[in-house]
Amino acid sequence: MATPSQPPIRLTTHRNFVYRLVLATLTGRSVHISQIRSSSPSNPGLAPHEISFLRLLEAVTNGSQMEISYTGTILVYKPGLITGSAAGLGASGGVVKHELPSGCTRGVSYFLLPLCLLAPFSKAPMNVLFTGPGVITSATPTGDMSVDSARTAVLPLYSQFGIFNNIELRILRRSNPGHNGKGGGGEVQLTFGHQVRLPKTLHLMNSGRIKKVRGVAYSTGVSASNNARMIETARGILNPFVPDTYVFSDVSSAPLVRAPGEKIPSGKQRTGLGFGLSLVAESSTGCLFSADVASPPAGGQPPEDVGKHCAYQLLETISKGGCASSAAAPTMFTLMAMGSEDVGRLQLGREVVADENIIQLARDLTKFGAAGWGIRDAGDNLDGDVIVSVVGRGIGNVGRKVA
Amino acid sequence: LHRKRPKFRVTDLTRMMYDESITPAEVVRKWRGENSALESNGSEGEHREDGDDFFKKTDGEKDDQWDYRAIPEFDYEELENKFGNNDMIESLRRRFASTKLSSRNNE
Repeated sequence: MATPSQPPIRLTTHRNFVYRLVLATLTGRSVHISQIRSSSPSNPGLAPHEISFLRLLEAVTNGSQMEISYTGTILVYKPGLITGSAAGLGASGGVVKHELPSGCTRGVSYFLLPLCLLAPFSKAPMNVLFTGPGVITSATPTGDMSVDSARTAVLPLYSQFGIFNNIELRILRRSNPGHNGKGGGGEVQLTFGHQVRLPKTLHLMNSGRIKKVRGVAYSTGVSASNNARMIETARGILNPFVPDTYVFSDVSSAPLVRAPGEKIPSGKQRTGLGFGLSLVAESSTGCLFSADVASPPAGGQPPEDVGKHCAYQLLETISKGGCASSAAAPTMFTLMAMGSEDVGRLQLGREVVADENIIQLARDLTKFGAAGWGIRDAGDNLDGDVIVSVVGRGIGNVGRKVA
Repeated sequence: LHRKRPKFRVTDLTRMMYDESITPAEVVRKWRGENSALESNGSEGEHREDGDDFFKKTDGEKDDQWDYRAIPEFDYEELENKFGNNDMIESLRRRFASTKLSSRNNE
């Protein structure tokens, strides 16, 4: 553990909130975040999904302390040890059950991706069941990827860091965003059983060429023909590029959630109807590019449009070049920064680096004591990619040191 | 100062990346070679006549509304135009394994 005398790292605003907390937990430094939406007249302070994420952190760590000011605009977080789902620490039967409230507007991948970053450095295997009336497994209008993309485009990235055993993301029940984009009724279980001392140093410089596209079309509570229609339009656009395109179709009924009415206290309600498409392109060198579009909660968008948008989004993501999409880059950079004290390299498209989130992440990493990134032009490249060099911090897994 | 900068120069990025006086959004805009004043005029054109203090207020609020997105917002009509274009399709083809780089380029 870091020496307790270290002053907390002072940060402002809610930008990059989850990744800041992840970095704090991984490096063991406490953080003081102020001015969280302090100038907002209607919703000052931490948002419900951010509070939910803090609860999740508390559940998978031991000894974390968090203090939130009266208005919610200041947070002090002292991280504990990442214990995962060790017995006796909030886990029952080796599973941490995390319930998301019905007002949640973010998809479950908002919680899953940061949790996956903590999992390799945990003391015991991570086994978390997301449940409750706020679990949205589809893509959301708030910009989260669907669980399918998280499973097929982000989790495989960990194998490049030497983390590949016993990782499973099970989608037990699907749900789209409910009324007004709030809540769902899905259920997702993440098992992350591969804990490492340090992730391997990554050198990913060859993006290869796209050789196949896989995808999942999902319909919850609506007709299965929506899937067929989405798949047909998406394939129509992608087939000239990639003949090896295969999209799975998953149809499920809408989840039932408890909705206590005035007359019937045990009332239940169907929620989270809708459909969506997740596409993942894989290159010959194992680079993954994903695209996600789901029907808006208000409805009114034909499945053809969803399929078309998703296919174009995939082409756009591919055209940006590099070895990782902007959706996967934060995960890769964080793992690289936590790796052994060696220089890892990652080739990225310029448009991917020219992203607020990435620049904010780079700044936050230096605040947490990582060395600055080296950026240079990739030679002999038609897309004008850049190579980002990241020096690992070599902290690795505190819980593993004793083992 | 007002001359047009070359876009996406790596040295520009390394200079701005860790400069805390520039917000990340501004870094991105500058690196892309977009004129920052032009940009804000475009998005808030209707509020221009309301004066400067009002301007700041809306800006701050927009900042507060901002939240992390894994998938950025796309303008799908623009994308459709972009990829409906034959030149664009041809230039994208070399990123795909199905393309034989020499023979099928003229197709």
